[in-house]
Amino acid sequence: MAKILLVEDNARDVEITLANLRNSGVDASVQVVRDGEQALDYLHRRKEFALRSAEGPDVLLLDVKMPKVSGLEVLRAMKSDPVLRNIPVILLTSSREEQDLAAAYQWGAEGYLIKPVRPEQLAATIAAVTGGAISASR
Amino acid sequence: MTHCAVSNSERYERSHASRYPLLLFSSGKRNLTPDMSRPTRVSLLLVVISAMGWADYVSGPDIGFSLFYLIPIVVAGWWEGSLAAYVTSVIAAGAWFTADLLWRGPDTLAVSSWNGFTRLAIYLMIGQMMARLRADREQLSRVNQELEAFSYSVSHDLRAPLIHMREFGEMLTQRVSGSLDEISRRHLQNIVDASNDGLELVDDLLAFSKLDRTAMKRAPVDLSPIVEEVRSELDARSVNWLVNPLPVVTGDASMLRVVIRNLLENAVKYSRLAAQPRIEIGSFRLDGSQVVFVRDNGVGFDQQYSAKLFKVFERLHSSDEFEGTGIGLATVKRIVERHGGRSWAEGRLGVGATFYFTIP
Repeated sequence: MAKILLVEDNARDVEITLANLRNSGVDASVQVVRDGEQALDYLHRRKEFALRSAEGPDVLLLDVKMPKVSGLEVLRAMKSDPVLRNIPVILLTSSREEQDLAAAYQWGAEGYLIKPVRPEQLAATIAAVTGGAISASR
Repeated sequence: MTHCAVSNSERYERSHASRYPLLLFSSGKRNLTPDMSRPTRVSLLLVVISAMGWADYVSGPDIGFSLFYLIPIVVAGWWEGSLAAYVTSVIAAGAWFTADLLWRGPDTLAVSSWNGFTRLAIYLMIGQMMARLRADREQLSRVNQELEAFSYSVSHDLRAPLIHMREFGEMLTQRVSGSLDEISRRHLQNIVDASNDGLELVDDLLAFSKLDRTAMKRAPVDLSPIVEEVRSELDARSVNWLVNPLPVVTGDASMLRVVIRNLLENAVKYSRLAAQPRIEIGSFRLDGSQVVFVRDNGVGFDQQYSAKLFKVFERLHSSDEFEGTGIGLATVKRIVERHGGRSWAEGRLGVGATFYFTIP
């Protein structure tokens, strides 16, 4: 089963994103971590056991504004890592600041969604960045 | 008497101009009166200095500043040994204080004659002024940075709870609306609508607050394709459009797009109750600049309120009649002003409205 790593500090946002994934029929298991530091820990731990095999996520849904390590910092760290850079990253943010959008694409993000995100929009973006590996079942 | 003003074109510097002295040069005649005794000179100097100190104490915490400039002037006059020089110095100090105290206009400083000391004093003064200007500029850029951080925080932290209200409201509606009575359903819908309005307001406000802070990229901009693009984005199928050729102006394309978008959105919104909505876009020349107008046959407005239209948050209709945040036309005005142009409106209740703007 395809895996999604959701990195989100706000419990309400976690719930909304999970509901959106469910409502759009995305067929994947979702692992949630609550800030950028945890996300990097999680990714690096799995890297030891050959990330691309069974353990690693197929796509990251990454909030931008988080305590300690921000989403943009996670993105930057991932995209400068030879193994982690292959995981597609979709940034999810409440902010409409264009500086974040520009930085995200400059550092190699595959997708960028501004909340509120419609379920279909989320599913379509996930399908696009994973090359159809994760798609909505309905 | 000739005078030269230390003036600056920047608006921010203009607002600070009252803090920088205006220089007045006088070609005072020398040695008209016999030399004064040394004690007289010293006491005169002390009188001037204490007067300055007192005046500055009253007018603001700038004692060091005026002493710094005036002492060399007074000393210059003293060195020349002419009573005219003393008198001029004292008048200078008086003029400065009066200007500072009474009018808060440009500070005034007169120097008795153009000699080495006055020149030195003026160099020192200019140096000090530059330092103040630099300090002010640094403060301004610090404030701007804080504002940037503030708007970033507002953008995220104020939007997030509104989004949550909206999303959970919608989820709740989906789950339970079938089992709810009419009133409860309406309450729920109001929660979702209100959070949507809040989101729209936050977004508009942030965009408006950014207008002054974003750098303008000036280039030739053809307005016609922008109008076509915006029209295609609007839901205005029932509108009868009359689009005349529009000029190519020099300005920031994305900002001008916002102007066109706001004006067309308004025209569509306020004419939607007309039997046959009709919107005309065109341009003409007036006093050497191109005027672009957007005319609709909508609800219009009472001409006496036309100035209010362009003020932020001012609306002539309740949001029950016509939705909106009252920021659109303020945005139009701000953008047009940044281009050095002007915007105004003409309207008649029940007949329609015409909005004009010029881009020189």
